[in-house]
Amino acid sequence: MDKIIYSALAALTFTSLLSFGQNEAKAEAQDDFYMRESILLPKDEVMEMGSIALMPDKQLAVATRRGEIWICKGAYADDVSKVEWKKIYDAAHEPLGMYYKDGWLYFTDRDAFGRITDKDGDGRYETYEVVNNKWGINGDYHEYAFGSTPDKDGNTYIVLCLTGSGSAKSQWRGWCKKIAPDGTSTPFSSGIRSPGGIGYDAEGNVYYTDNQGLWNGSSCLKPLKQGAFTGNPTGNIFYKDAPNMGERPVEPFSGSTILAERKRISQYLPPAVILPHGKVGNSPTAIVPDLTGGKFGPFANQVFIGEQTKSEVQRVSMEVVNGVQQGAVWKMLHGFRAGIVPMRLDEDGTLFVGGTNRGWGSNGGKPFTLERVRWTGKVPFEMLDIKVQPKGFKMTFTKPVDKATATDVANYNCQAWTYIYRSDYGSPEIDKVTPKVTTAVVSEDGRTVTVTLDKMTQGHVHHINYEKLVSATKEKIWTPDVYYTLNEIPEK
Amino acid sequence: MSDYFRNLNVVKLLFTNVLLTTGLVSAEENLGKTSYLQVCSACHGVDGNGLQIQGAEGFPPLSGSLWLKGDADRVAQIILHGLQGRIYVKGKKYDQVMPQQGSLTDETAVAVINYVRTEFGGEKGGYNIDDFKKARASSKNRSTQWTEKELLSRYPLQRPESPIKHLLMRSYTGDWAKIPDFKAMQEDAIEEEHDGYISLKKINKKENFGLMWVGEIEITKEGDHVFEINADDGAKLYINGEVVAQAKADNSEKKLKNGKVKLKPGLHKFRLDYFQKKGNKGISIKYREPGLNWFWLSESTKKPEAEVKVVIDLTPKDGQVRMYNNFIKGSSARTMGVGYPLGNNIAFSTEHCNLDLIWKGDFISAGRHWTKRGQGFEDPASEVVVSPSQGVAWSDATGSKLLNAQLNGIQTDEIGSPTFGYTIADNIQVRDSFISSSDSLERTISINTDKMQTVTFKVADSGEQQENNIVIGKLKIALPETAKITKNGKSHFVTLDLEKGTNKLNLTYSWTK
Repeated sequence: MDKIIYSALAALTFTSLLSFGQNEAKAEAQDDFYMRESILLPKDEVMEMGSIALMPDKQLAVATRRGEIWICKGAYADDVSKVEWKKIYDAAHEPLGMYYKDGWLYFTDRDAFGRITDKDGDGRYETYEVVNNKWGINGDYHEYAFGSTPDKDGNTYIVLCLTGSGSAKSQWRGWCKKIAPDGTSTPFSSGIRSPGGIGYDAEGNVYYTDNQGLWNGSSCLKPLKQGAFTGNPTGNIFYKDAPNMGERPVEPFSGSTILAERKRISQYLPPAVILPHGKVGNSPTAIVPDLTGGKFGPFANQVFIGEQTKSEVQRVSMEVVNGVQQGAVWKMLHGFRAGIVPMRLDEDGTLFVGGTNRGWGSNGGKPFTLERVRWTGKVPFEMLDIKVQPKGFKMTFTKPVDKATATDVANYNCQAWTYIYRSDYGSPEIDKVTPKVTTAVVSEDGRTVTVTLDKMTQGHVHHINYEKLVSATKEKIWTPDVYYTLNEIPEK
Repeated sequence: MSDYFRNLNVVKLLFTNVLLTTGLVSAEENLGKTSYLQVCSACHGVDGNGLQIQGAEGFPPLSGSLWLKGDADRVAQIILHGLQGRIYVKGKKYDQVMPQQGSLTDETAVAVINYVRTEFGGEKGGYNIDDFKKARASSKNRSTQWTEKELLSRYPLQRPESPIKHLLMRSYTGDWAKIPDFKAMQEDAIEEEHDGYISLKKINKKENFGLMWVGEIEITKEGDHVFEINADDGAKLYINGEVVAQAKADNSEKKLKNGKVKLKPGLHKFRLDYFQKKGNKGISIKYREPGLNWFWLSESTKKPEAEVKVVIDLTPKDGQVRMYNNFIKGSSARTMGVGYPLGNNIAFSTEHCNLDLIWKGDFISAGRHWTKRGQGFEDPASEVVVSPSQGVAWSDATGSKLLNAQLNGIQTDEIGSPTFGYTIADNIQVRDSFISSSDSLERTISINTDKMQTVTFKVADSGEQQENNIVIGKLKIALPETAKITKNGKSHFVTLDLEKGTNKLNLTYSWTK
């Protein structure tokens, strides 16, 4: 065949076939369930998102990595191209965490946890007050500080990234500090490496996301508790300054596993949910609970996590087993236009997502973005929740499952693994096992499937793929994979 | 003709298979896909893998091709004007004619562009009609088909994916004559290098630093693999823990820049140590798999990169005061840069509540901190910068015991000029502010105390006293005529006998020519 003009050839071949182009199979798309919209940003401004705060009267405040704080009117309106923006402040130092309370905008930046207000009402926030700045910084850009919203008692939690993400050259690096409403601070937890966000579950327990790295085999969601050690021992040199924390934890053995070291180190609080590196994400960030009571879809009281590299949102559900927090992660939303850092979920069901790609690129590809997501009202066929049982898992679904496919044990593919807990960077997946589903029982109402596995391995992430499941009305499953972190196996 | 018909049948078969597995997708995706199948797939393949035809040259694949990556206008231009002559796709040469697709509507062309880029190029969609119209306008005078050279000079291809996976860069500081034992040292920072390329781009330092890259290199062929490195000052390459090549790594005569290692397909441990003492810096590394061309593992730099400094000038131009809260060289890590109108600038330490730096002229560039990750301290944008004093300036009556200083807040006035509020020794409230004029910066320190007490304020850490002025180089600090100025070591102090209530200390900072 020579240099044939091939469009002509193709036209000849296919014109008659074109009418077959439509097809009856039904693959669900995100847009069916969640509507993602970009909010218009002020023209010619660099709006690399570091923080989002919900304000009274449906206003939104955002803080940029350049240190500016802006207020947006119209972010909840139908037409997001008609928003109004006003810059109210420009002297923050890369603020990562902001909230509104009683006329003040509180924010956490590299320098301090502080607050601003507009006393004279001219629209410019002219008054800045330091609430607390009792931590060290030395000019290393990795020394980020992420601040939470207040808990029910008004405390704010701040997680302090290690120096260069590998050392603790400034005071309290690698720690979480609790700031009381009166501005006093207390050391809260140690063991932090490189946080990407901090937030709460629906019950108000505080967590942060820690990125894969030294002493952290995979990125994960870690609970914070008074006196706890969360895994990276670099900052433990500051136990000498933290009498309220008690004894300094013994040094972990490098090359061990989390499960083994938990038994040696009494203060060690394991990650609640491992977000398997490369599979679920690369750089977890914001943590927001779903307190919308169902206005953001069927996932009330679960937790959403931002993902910077992949420009995604993940979903987490947790439970307490033998006194230890653990749970599962699913991928959820994708296609955001930049790497997600801050998120806020309004109780009205609007999720605000802020993005920035500077320094760390993302699938999103744009330098920065502010987007909002709302549920369309259509329920996806989806695994709603998963709870561990002594010999398997109980999975509930948003809609009744097709019993024929759901009872077929061949329709569940499992794999389980753990990570090396070590001073080196990250970890491969190790000690892989392939559990088999031996029985799959569907409840009367078709909403629950209880699977028994031939082997449950404590400390392992259990991955179940269930892509072959369909609903009773033959809808395909939206998200076909779940990853459950099995810190503990219940006795009954 | 026999080739023609065989080809046709293969395509028909593939097409039928695709129809059976097609999912319902958005209208645009559907249009893109059906149009692709109709117009493009005969040559580029239903699966985007091109067509390999026995005894003939075949047609280039789209799947995994760099031609689809990056700027979507490149694809648009091929559709608009076609492409002819020799081209390279995925390392293979083709010499065919790709005709322009003038019969496609804009809507269809855009749908095809998005389809091929997302389906075969691993890119995001989002190319729209306006983009396409702009692309058309940008080449409206073109009457011939593109050649590879023309098109790629306008829309360069992205780098291919690096074979180095899980690449980490650890950075170190030190003054070495040869590559030190990085493994025994505490690194300053560890970075994930997701793109898998060796580069000094993120390094702001000019001298006395070291880097250790660690990752895994994916080898596809069995046999001898050649690595070549070139470094200034020196570098050493390890594959699977063995030294394969080194360049001036130990200052000896031996400059083994080129090394060979036998490898099997799969992942192999990769480590590259590099150090820079002073002068030019640079690192390059390439390798060759058996039977393949050289592949650059570093950002290709023929000579060490020149420093490219991005300038984002923050000098206030509108009569307003500009604050810059970031790392400023010569001041503490917590500091507030303030650029006043009329060319007066300061860095006020919010750590020590002290005037760390003062300079005249342009304020500062935010280029360092507002591009990339923002590492390091930025110099004030002036040649003449004076640090009057450092650390906490306040001490007790004898000047021997430093008092604690804690920033409470910053209040700005209608032009954005800040007043720094801080507490000294728990019971002295200070408000510290500056007014800029063309020849000076006037500082007012307002000190409020609940009891009579004497404190000492450090005006300068260097300089000479001339009457009631302290002169540091070109900077003159004028103190009140009544000020009780003392000197201790090289530092100059004023003793302040504070009354209960508000006390004021005025200082004027001006520049001699």
